[in-house]
Amino acid sequence: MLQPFFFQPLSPRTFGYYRIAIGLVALLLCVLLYPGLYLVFGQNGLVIWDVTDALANPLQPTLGRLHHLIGTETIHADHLLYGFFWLYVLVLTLFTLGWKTPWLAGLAWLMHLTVMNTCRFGSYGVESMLNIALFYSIFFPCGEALSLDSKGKTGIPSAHSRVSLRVLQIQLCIIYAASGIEKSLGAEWWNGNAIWYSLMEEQFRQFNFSWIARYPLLPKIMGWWTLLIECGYIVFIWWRPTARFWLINVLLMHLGIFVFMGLHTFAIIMMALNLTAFGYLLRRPVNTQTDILAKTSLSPQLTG
Amino acid sequence: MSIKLKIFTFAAAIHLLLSVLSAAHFGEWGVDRRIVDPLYYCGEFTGSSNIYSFFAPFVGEQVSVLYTLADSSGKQQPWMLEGPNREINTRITTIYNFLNLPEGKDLFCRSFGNNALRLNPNVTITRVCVIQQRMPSLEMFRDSMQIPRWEPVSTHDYARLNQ
Repeated sequence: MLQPFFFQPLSPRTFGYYRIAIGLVALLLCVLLYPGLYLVFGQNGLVIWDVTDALANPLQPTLGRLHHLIGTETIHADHLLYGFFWLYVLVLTLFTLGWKTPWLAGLAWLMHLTVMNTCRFGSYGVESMLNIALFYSIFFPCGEALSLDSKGKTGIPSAHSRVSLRVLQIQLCIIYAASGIEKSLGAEWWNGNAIWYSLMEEQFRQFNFSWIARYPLLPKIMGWWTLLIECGYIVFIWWRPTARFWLINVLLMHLGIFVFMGLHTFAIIMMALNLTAFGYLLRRPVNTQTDILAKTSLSPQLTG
Repeated sequence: MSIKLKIFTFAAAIHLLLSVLSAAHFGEWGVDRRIVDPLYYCGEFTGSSNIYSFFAPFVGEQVSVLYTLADSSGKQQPWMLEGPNREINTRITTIYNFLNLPEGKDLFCRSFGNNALRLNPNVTITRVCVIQQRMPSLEMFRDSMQIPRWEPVSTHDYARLNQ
């Protein structure tokens, strides 16, 4: 039973979409961060490199450490910052186009790690998710479809693609289960205050939601719904009758994070990961007459 | 199954196992640090050391910084650091929230003061005032009409050295 689940050949096309989605999110992040590049990542920015390096894991790459490695007399810190940034943009562009994909995925991941650690205290969910996604890109068959490497063709279905898809799906299950269980340990997610704070704290506030206090059941239900969707993801995303419903609800939750909390890039990357991992649930009806026909036909070609 | 696929599957299984352990706060189980630390350091590269506790178990109170800038003539003015877009402002607030860590607070405040002086070249002294937003709960807001308010937590003064 586990053999086909993990190893039944699958087209690598999904990972072509995955690579393009991840690459575009990373590039979007570059566009958004460019106007404040020095403030967020600069040697004398909001958190100076010395502070970041003093508090960071000693093995992690940062721009400050790279500067010391190259030699502080060799290159000015500002030139290193901007040079590194544009090189990162170039690497991401080539990765998105699918040129020498595994190598550029590795380089993009390492450069992202450096950028993320340089702004260690300012990075949040989107950087963590991008780190995981880029790390996976090195090993997933991301260059075998919709890429310059594949020259417009799609690679043959393989067990490698299937295992990769399962890894991504299981990773998402771990993320939502951990997040949901941790949330459920706090009273705020049960009594509606977590939703209230998320909507009202200045750092997330997009609209005036003070009226919601008059309807306390509403934030309470929204809190319960979040807990149910996150904790239940690990089970119900796999169960045919609920799979599509769960995926739509998770996407709605991230849409809510985008619209009502203003965490745009985080919401986009989570939606992209969900659509890559389980997007097939939206493409065709589950367990319908078409499915039964496909299963019972002698040849896949006959079903169109 | 090819050797390459076997190695890939095995490595992926180990990676996912580490992700589960980290998400389950493996580091707090009392296991020997000599085992935990290498796994944690390794996980910082691959992403498997993440605990995925987004807004969990609670949504923390927001911390911010209010600056007061003074020039050589003694003229003072309040100042807030604002980024050019939402993404950068999210990072600024994320950094400010680290002021909740007592061990890093002094270092961070120095860094913020340094940044304020860099962005305002005519200023000779800056006061970094750490403020925290006190959010009333749903119940308190509804029943006693308490409103969200900012409270000062600490102040730190920094002067430009080369003047």
